[in-house]
Amino acid sequence: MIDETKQEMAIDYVLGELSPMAAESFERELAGNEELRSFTKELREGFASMALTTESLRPRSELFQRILTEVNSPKKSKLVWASFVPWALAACLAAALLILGFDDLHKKNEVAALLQRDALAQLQISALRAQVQAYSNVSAVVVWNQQHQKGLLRLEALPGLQSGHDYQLWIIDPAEKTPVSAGIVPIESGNSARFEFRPEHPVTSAAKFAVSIEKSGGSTVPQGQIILVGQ
Amino acid sequence: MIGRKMTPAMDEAAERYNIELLQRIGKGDEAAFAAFYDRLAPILYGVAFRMMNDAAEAEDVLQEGFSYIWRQASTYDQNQSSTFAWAIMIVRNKAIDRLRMRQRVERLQQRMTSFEGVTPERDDESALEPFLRERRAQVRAALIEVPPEQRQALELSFFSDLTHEQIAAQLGAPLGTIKARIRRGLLRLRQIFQQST
Repeated sequence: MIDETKQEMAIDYVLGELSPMAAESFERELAGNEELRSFTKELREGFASMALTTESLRPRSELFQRILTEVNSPKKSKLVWASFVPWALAACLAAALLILGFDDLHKKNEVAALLQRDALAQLQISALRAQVQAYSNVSAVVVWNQQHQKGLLRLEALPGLQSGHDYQLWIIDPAEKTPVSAGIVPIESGNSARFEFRPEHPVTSAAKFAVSIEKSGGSTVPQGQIILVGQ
Repeated sequence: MIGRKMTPAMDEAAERYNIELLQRIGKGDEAAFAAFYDRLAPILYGVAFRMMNDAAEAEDVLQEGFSYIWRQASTYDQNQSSTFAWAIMIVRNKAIDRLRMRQRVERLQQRMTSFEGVTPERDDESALEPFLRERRAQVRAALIEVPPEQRQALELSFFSDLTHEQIAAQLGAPLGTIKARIRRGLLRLRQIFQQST
């Protein structure tokens, strides 16, 4: 028998009303409580059934092709190895500096000076800093090419992310009212990420980069906690 | 329908097929993606259109939703939700994000596109539509049993981007009352579906 308090928690969980910490705690409980899991699933199904108060409508026939183009676009625009070399080099340089602790402004400027002397001059490197304690051990570097409007994010030592949430990268462009999404960051092997990104639409400048925790699927503007910021 | 096990939207065989499609999509199967789209796009588009009240924006929501489904199909967990509920909640979240962005940037100017003033056509041809039609009738019948104030709070909670506080303000009722209405309505819906499966 599920007591009333647990029922209310399950309802708030389904409606997305729990705080991230409370949701995480509830998910742990769900994992070990089959009755509660079943109850929560039934609530979710009931809530989703509200969709059936609408009629099915026909989207334009070309929409599916548009979606296919979008989901395949990273494949099509995949960088050839030769063009990726400078990116990898810059990312390695930035990561090495972080590892060695040379992330202060002076050293960064030295690297920038070096970079300006060669073909990497147009690359901007940002080390992102944790905004919350739980992310203080995370190594986070963005390499950005303003001219080509594309970048590379590398994250290491990420703490676990509760289910139902994604990391999302943002570009703060002073010319925009709201941060511009650069996409959901796919996590590899649990605690790292290597993410080639493009902004949702071209930016005039990338003054800052930020990573936030958003509900699964991400948001069009940041809604969740900002965990990393760099400029 | 008696004796046939159902999720809230479809029968067991249809659900098994949807799960198989998601498993194939997770492996990059475009044909499975197309089949999943054909089955669910009309109801998802209906939800998106009701929320956005704009055909072009509803299509954008659908595009974002299906792009997400493509990327995340392999993470679908049937212990957590049916394929229908999973897809519905993805599209609903995408629509809410857009509604909130629309508010934030105060983008009141409508897009000047060929969609202006267009209401999409009904779609009765998807393979899932027979199940959905039957279930739709059950949901509507079930909602008649839910007191109007609970139904109204549930509808606002599902289809709008309003927080519970905003729903309370809009309906001129205390927050605690609104939360209680939504909870009671949701428990009632769950009870109705338990009886019918």
